[in-house]
Formats: sequence, C-alpha cells, structure tokens
Amino acid sequence: MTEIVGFTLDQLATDIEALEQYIAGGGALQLNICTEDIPTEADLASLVLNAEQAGFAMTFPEVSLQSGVPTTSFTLSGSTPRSNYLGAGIPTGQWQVLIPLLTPLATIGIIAYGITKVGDISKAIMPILLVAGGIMVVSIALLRRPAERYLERGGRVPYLPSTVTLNNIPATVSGTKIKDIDIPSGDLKLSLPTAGIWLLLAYDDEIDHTTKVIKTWLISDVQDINNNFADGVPFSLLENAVKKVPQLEKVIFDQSIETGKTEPFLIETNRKARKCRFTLNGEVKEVACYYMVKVVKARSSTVYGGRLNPKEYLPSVVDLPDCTPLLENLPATRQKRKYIYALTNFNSGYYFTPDFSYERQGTALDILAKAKGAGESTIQIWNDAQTGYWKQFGYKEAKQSISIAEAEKLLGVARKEEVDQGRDPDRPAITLVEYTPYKRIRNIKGLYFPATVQTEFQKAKETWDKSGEKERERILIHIGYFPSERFFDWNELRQDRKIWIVDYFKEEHPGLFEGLTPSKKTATGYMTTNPPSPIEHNGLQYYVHMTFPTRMEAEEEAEGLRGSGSPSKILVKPWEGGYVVYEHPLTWDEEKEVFVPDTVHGWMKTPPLDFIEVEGVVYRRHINFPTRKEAEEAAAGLKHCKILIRPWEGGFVLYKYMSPAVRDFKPGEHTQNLIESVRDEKEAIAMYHDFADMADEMGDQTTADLYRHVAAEEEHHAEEFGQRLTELGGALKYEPVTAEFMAETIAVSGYKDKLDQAFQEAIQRARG
Amino acid sequence: MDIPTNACIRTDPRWDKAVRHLGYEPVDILPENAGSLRTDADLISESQEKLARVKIVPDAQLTPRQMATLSLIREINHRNARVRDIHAAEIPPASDRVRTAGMYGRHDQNVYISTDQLEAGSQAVSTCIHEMSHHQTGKGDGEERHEEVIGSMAAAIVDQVSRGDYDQYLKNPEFVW
Repeated sequence: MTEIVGFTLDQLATDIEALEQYIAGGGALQLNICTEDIPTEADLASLVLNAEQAGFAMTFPEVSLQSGVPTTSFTLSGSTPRSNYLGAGIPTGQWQVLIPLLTPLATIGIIAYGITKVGDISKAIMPILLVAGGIMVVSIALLRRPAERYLERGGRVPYLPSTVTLNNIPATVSGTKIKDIDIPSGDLKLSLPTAGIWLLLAYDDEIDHTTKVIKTWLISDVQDINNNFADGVPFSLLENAVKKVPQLEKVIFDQSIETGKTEPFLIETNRKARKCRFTLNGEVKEVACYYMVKVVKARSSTVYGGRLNPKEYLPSVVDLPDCTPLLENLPATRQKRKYIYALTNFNSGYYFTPDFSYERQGTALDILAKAKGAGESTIQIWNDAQTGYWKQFGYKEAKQSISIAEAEKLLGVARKEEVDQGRDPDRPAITLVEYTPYKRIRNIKGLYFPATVQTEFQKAKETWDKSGEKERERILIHIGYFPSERFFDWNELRQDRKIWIVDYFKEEHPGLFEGLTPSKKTATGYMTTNPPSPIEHNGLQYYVHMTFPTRMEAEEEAEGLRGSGSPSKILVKPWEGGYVVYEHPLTWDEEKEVFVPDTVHGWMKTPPLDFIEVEGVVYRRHINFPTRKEAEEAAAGLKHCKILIRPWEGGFVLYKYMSPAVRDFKPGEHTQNLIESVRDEKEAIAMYHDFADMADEMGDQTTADLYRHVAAEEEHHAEEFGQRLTELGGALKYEPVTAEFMAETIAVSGYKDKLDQAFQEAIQRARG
Repeated sequence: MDIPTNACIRTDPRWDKAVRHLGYEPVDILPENAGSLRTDADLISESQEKLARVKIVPDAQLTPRQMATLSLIREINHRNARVRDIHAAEIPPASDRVRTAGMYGRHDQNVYISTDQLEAGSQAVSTCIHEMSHHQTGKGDGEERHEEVIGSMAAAIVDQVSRGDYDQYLKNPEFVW
C-alpha cells in the first residue's frame, strides 16, 4: 500500500501525479482530505459533479470527524479520467485536473491530505479501509497542526444545539436574561414558587454536537432570582464550586485566556466572554462557554440558558417594567396592525389573532362565503386599522357581531376602496372572524381589547390586582405587535405565565425603545445545518419529523401529530434559531399487543453498510425494510439484479449487485454518442447486450458484466419510465386499439392482403 | 367554424392521434366557445380509468374456436415479440364512441385481446401485431416507429406462415381465419 501525505493543494498536485504511475495498471486511490470545517452537502455535490464531468470515477465523498478533524474521504478509480471507456489505454497526466475540482474543500481550508493507493477498487470501497486511511491521515494532520488549532475552533463553531439534557429533564434554552420574575416595580408581579436555582456551565462538543455540562451549581443560598441575575453571579461562587469537583482542576474564563488576568465571571456583564479553559482529567480544553440557569419551580423545571457567542442569539424579549415607557408613549392612534391582548382565564375560552384568521381561514370573502354556506345569520367582524371603516359606519367597537348582509355591505365598500387604491381587493383591510376553529387549535379563551394600549393595559392591571394570588398564576397578559416573524414563544408563555413583550416596531418608533434591550430576530429563516437526528430523550430515540422557523408552528405541528391518533411520542426542540419537531415512532405489534418502535420510519439506529462484498461480488445497498418479508417482496420485483438480503439492527437491508466497474462506469464519448444515436430504448438495451457479447468473445469478462448490468438496469428503468410517463401524461399506461383502428394500421402497413393470402394458403396446406 | 359532432378540445397536439383513436376529433377552440366539449386530456384520462377495469377471461372459459386462435397468437408472440403473456379479456370500451379490440398494458407488459376478436384469426392476428408492436417499440399509437414495426412484424409473420411455422395450429379444425 503506497501512501503519501501532504498539506497544500500544490503538494497534492505533485503527489497525485507521482502516484498515478503506480496505478497505471488499475487499482484505485483513496483520498482523505482534512479540512478546517465540515464541508456542506453542496460542497460535496459540487465536487462530485465537477469530477464526473472531468471524467473521474469516484465514490461519493464520505465526511467524518476523525479525532475532531473533519475528514473527507473518497476513492478514485485508477482507470480515470476516461475520455472513452471503450478505448484502449489509460490517459495519463490528467490527474492534475482533479486539483481545481477540490476548490470547495480548499475554500473551507485544507489542513492535510493523504493519498493511499489501494490494489483493488472493490476493497477500496469497504468502509473499514476508509476508516483506517482516515485515521492515518488525521493523525498526521494533528501532528502538523497542534491541537490548539482545533480547540480554538470550538470558539467559533457557528451553530450549536440549543438544547441540554440534565438529569433527563428536557431543557429549553430560551434567553440570555432572566429578570422578569418577582420584579418589585410596583406594577405587575408574578409569583413563582422557587425551590432552588442552579447555574450550569456548559459547552458544545463539536464532535458529537451535544452540550456538555461541565458543572452545575445549586445557588441555594440565594433566593432572590432577580437580584442575582441583575448583578451577575460572583466569580467566587464559581471558583468555589470548581474546587468541589475533583476532576475539574481549574477553570479560567474568557479574557483571562488572552490576558492572563482572571476576571470575575459575571453573567450579565460578561456577555463578550466566549471561551473558558479548563483542565479535566489532565487534559486542557478551551471551549466556547454557555451559562445556563435552571430555575426549579414547584411543579416543573425549566432550564434557561444562553450562549455567550455568537451575539446574534440574543433574545427578542424584554421584561415588563422596562416597557412601561413604551406603553405610556405609544400613540393613541395605532398604526398598521398592533394589538394588545389580555388573555384571561387561561385554560378555557377563545384565543385569536387577525393574522391567524387571515392565514387559517382564508380571506374575508372566503370566511363570509363559508358563514353563509353554514347558514349563519351573524358573523364577527373587526377593522384591521381601527381608523377606517368602523368610523364611517359609526361603529365604536373594533369587534362586533353583525349580520351577514351587513358584512357583505361592508366588505363591498372595503373591496372597492382597495381597488381604488390600486391594491388587491381580495385582501381588504377588514377581517371577518370565525371563532370556532380556535377552540380546536388552542382551547384557550381570551378577551380582545381593541381600545388603546394604555387603556387596556390599565384594564389588565385592574384585573390582575383584583385577582387572588392563585388566580394570578393563570393570568397572562400578552402585548404584541403583528405581523411578527417571531410571534412569541408559546411554550414559555404556557409554562411560565410570564409577561412578555414580543417584538415591536422599532423602525416606526425608535425613541420608544431607548434603554431597552435591543431585539434581534432569532427565529427567522430556517437552520443552515441539519438538526441532530436521532436524539435521545428519556432513553428514547427521537427522529426529526419537520423543522419550523417558529416555535408556534412547531407546536402546532406537534399538536396535530399528538391528536392524530398515532401512538408516536412527539418532542419539540430548538435548533439554530428554528424549532424541530421530533418523533419517536411507535407501531402496534399485533402479536405481542404492545407498541414497538416503528422501524419503517425509525429505521436502524445506525445506517447499514452501503457496500458489502460476498464471494468477491460487491453489493450496493438499495432499500431498508422493517421485515424480511417486505425485503423479499421487493427483491422479487428486481428481476435483473443479484440480490442479497441482510439483517441490520432490527431491520433488513436489500442489497443489489453492483460491481465496482459498473458503479464507476461512465460511458465514453464514443459510447455515449452511440447510445444517444439510438433513440429507441429497446434497441439501446439490445445494443448493451451486443456489447456484452462482444466483450465475452474478446475474453473481457469485466466489461461484459458491466454491459449486462447496464442493460438490466435500463430494462428495469424502462418499466419505471413507462409508469412515470403515464403519471406525467406523456404516455399511456394502457394502449388500446379499436377494431377499426387496428384494421386501418394493418392496411396502412400494406400487409393485410399478404397476411390473408399467407394464412389461407397455410390453412389449406396444413389441413391437406 | 363548424364543430364536428365528435369534437373535443385540443390541449396538446401530442394527444391528437390518441383521441382520434377514441373516436374523437381534436379541435382548437377557445374555452368560452367550447360549451360542453371535453378536453383531449379528459377523454384520455377517462379512457385509462375504464381500461384499468379489464377482466381476464381464463382459458378454460373460452370456446374451442377462441382457444385455437389464442394458441396461435401466443405462438406468434413467442416467435416475434415475447410480451409477457397474451390474455383473452373483457375490455371496457375505451370511449363512448368505440369498442376495444385489444390492449397492451405498459405496466405489466401483457397483451389483452377481446374475446370477440378471437372468433376470427384475421382479427386476432392483426390486433396481436398491433399490440406487440407497442411492446417492441415502447411507442404509442400513430408514432412513426410503432407503425414501422407493425409493417416489419407483419412481414416476418407472413414469412413464418409461408414456411409452415404455424401449421400445427392452423390444422386445428376449430381455427377460423
């Protein structure tokens, strides 16, 4: 086995050319490239596409973390690049073509590479060899680049999971500041029975993308949460705690790493802190840090936390006392869509927003038509802008029940005005609302106060003041502005009954927000990396079901799944500013009469091998099945392939024969032209058979197998193609013929008479 | 413009021959003038739904004459096309304007011949050639390649008949050309 190791693309160009001569007679090269960061799927796809266009036959790159270093591994067939597969000889001097194709990896930053010459490509694709080669390269890469290089990268891992599991308590990381509880501001108070406060120091492990909790501290001697977090946690508290952990020898936070000067670690003020260095079991680690605060309440536990870096993850919340000036200064005439809600009697009643009515029930026209269709005599209506239609019709309340006829009249005026303004008449500034669906969606009753913010805020306060202590826990006041990309964190509202101000029109009233914590949108857009799957929660494996930009949407999906009758367990977790609905799939085992993990959807815990070799034949993974019966049924439909069915972690994997030559086969230009020139699919298949026969005659068994396999694949595809065309309307599933049309086509062929004559003569001859 | 009584709305010229096959004439017409005319795509879609309800008639239920014809065309298939099988069948009418003599199923690669076509060898052989050509070419009705293969296959069968390849079937007194 020949191995070359290098560190730059220039070196790679030289080395790969040098190695080329060793594989002139066949074989393959395995390339392992260590990079600064993990290449994206787009990077890999770009690499493969470019390489294939250049005539290289390569396996799809596998990316793995070897000792924490992203390592991209793939195998190049020794007989590539090909310009003509049928042509004799192997072109040389073209391997440098590969170098610019590695640009996607070079952009990430190549640390090191290793080329391994392997004797036979069928062995090269065996995973065990990939792993072995990867380790070899990585170990050298690590020698070249000291460990600090990689550890530093822990400080700039761009996306980290926003979850932490501590003692099997699901943790929701939701903010960087917890100071809206028990605030003695003279205004609203929320009472939160507190059993204890925990501080967690954690970091994200970039290798397995889990949050590692270094240490938790019970801040048992501090009962006033607000005071604690307003002033920060004294560093001495942490220092003392560290001393109590025998294996944790020393922890240095943040700036001290750069300056050597130890600074107090204050949660509130030390937001710039990005790293901490600690020694654990003799090993020095320098990682990005989190602080997390676990507030243990009487009936539930919630972990709050926040990342110190990056700053983009600052929350979109401010606490109520800070917002008092905002409320007082809000203009009396509300602009656009701004609402104040007082949701009382939390567990029963209605809840709605105009945005929901619009999105979920269609336009006002739709709603009106639906109400008429249902035989309703009245309908709820409100004016979106407060200052428009209601005034001209003398309405004083923004929401009112009116007759259907009256609603039609209003709608007509609204639509006309939209037309006059050059806008879409189907989206008039008027909203008709049906209430019923919201019972189903939220099962929450609420009261909508359509007057000014100040007035309604006052009402809310009065309601609060009059309520008893027990009742207050059930009272929620939500002040919000719509549309809001980040609506609000419904889970937090539901759990904590806190007062939040969610989003605001900063652009519209910048002066109102002076002194407030700036808001950054955290839930816009989706993740840029895939959330982890599966994750373990309470000992169960959960798999990604769907991702959402907001928790609201994720919770809605989760509610739908829970209410669908499926026994599967559902979990919602944040990830990179969005939210993920996880599912632990379960199905009913009729024999055992228990719910069992659904292997159809849950699949195996680890992916089965993509290739396996049996008696010198390499099989490629085709489909996974939960039962052998299903795998065998599928195998029966694959007529032209060698099939192998192997069990894997509770399921069964259907493998198809795929010789290395076939797998890497790329028709050369000449062959391609031949194939394309034969437009008829059947003839193309026949041509492949002919090529196989020719190869047989020449004693080239590999090429013969190659073409026979391609022919078999094409025949299989031909069947699928016909069905696909049918779906597309391009071809018919059934080709009927009428007697008239049939007679016509035979007549057109000119053989009708000849057929008649031949058969009649043959009948006479046969019957003597 | 005079609209023929068997008109349908042309949405795609690709369907022209197929809908003519169904007894309809595609015309270019504005939707507002189309009245109750159906589109070519609708006709084809309905036709496909009907044809999917084809019922195979087991060999044991065929008359001796039908069986004699079926045996012959199976042998013709074996020598010339090798569709998966040829079945006698009750085939629903492909449209309200035509009856269906035979049918090739792309998905199962079977040929279905209407039992009434099996009463005479000339009808059954012609139908068989037409359907086998679908199998050979993968092409639809009216496509050039399909029509070419019909001609070449018919020529081959004429040769085979002249050589006496099917004599053992033709000497069966139940067989009627």
